[in-house]
Amino acid sequence: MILSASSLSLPGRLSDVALEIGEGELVCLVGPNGSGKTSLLHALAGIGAATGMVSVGGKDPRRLGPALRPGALTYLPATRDVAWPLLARDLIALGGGEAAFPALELASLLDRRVDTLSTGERSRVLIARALAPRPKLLLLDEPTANLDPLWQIRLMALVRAEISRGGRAALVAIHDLDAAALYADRILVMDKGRIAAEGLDGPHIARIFGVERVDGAWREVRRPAGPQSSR
Amino acid sequence: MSLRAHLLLLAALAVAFAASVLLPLDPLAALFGQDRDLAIALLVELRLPRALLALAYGATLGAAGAAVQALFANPLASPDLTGTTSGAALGAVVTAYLFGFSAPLALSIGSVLGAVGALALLLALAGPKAETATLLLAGLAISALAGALTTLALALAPSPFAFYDAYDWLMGSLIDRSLEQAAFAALPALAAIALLLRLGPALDRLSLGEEVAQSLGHDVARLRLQVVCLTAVGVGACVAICGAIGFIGLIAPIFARRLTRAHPGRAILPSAAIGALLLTAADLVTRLAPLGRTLPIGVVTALVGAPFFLWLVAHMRWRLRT
Repeated sequence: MILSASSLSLPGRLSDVALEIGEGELVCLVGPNGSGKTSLLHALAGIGAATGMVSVGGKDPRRLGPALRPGALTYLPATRDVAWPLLARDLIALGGGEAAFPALELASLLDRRVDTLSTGERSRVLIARALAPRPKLLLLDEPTANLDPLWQIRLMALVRAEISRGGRAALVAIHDLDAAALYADRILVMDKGRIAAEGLDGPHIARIFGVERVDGAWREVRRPAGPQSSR
Repeated sequence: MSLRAHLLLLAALAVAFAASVLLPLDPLAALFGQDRDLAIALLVELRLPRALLALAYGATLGAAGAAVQALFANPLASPDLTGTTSGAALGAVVTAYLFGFSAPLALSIGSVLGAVGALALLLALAGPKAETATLLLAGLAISALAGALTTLALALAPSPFAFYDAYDWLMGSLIDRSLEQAAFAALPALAAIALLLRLGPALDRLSLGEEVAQSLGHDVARLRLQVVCLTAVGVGACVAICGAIGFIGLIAPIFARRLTRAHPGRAILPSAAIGALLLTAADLVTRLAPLGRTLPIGVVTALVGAPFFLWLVAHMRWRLRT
């Protein structure tokens, strides 16, 4: 087991969440806006005031200082802002690793300032920052946002390749249900601060997201007319 | 930062210090001819404290400016624009009102408390990741409030002479401070700079965002408290002895980050060096300017700093638009 966590709670955000992720597993976290995906990633990464038990490779990562933490886990936030005009190379080094990902094609970007990069290019640099320390557990919040279809595929293949190197796993929060189905070994569905279900098959998708698959595309659920339809 | 840049800064500091002690040279040389002991006394008791204060105060403003800019992730944060200096001045004036100007320790403590209060109020008003406009408006409001309260305290002062004394001091002055007074400012200031330097790596990682810094194992709440307290101690101790001097804390870090490839935490040391250079240079201008009388040093830094600040704001606007 790479990650095991239990009784993760944060008033108003998370209530008593427990999850386990095994070696080599790529787990996707889906859920409506405000369902607690980012809060769960934060709780696991030691960000904020959530309580509960977290263990990565047998140790509580929240007790590890700046020297050891990046080896246990790294976290990629959904925002792509960088406050200072750092070089891409320096930004990756600040995360505690080296840029050695041929798949991200960073060579031409490394000596450029991050404020001169396009949003997609900056995303690739920030993703490299999270991958570079080669952590046991990758916590990625919307890693494919801002990336074109080709780079989305390449990125998820890279994440897959990285966690298959032994002793590693990834938890990826993602809005795109099709992408989750395509890339994940396992899908956790969050709703109202809890892990409400696993997988995308079943009536819970319509209940939680208010969408259903019709002819291969997602549509809003047509609710029967009446008093309930006012939601 | 390269070894060459380090050496250049160090050499510039040595030259500035020597110039600050020796210039203007003519009266000193003449005095050496007449009365050697008096000349040495002039060097040790007048010129040396002044030169040391310029270095220490400038270094403090530079280091504090770099740390505050790193903390707020904003190149327009600085001890004066965020109200820290005015808070320290208010603290010192209130203390002087209660205990008189002749108690340097009480003045320093009052000044540090004023600075802590102003910074805490700024964090409460603008929040840790404030937009530039919010940060500047909150800083302006705090400065205005502290300034008004300072004037009120002076207006209610029992002796009208206190007003003129305090006015002189409020404009910032390095003149006529004893070596003992210089030590009162310089020792806490140097301790604060040394401790701020230790926060450099954490402040660098803060540029990845507060959440990422936390995920990398940094206690951001504690970091914020440390920067606020150390900045307040350094700036407060200097303001208590030399009054408020503006714009050095804004300008020095901006040049320093050019030497550290934009790393805000690593910039603390070069920013301290550049701040010390700038304030020493400003002090030399007040002495050597052919006006027949000594200018207040705060006026010199403001005359150079305010246009630079305007240019910076215009530059940022221009960059945001394109």
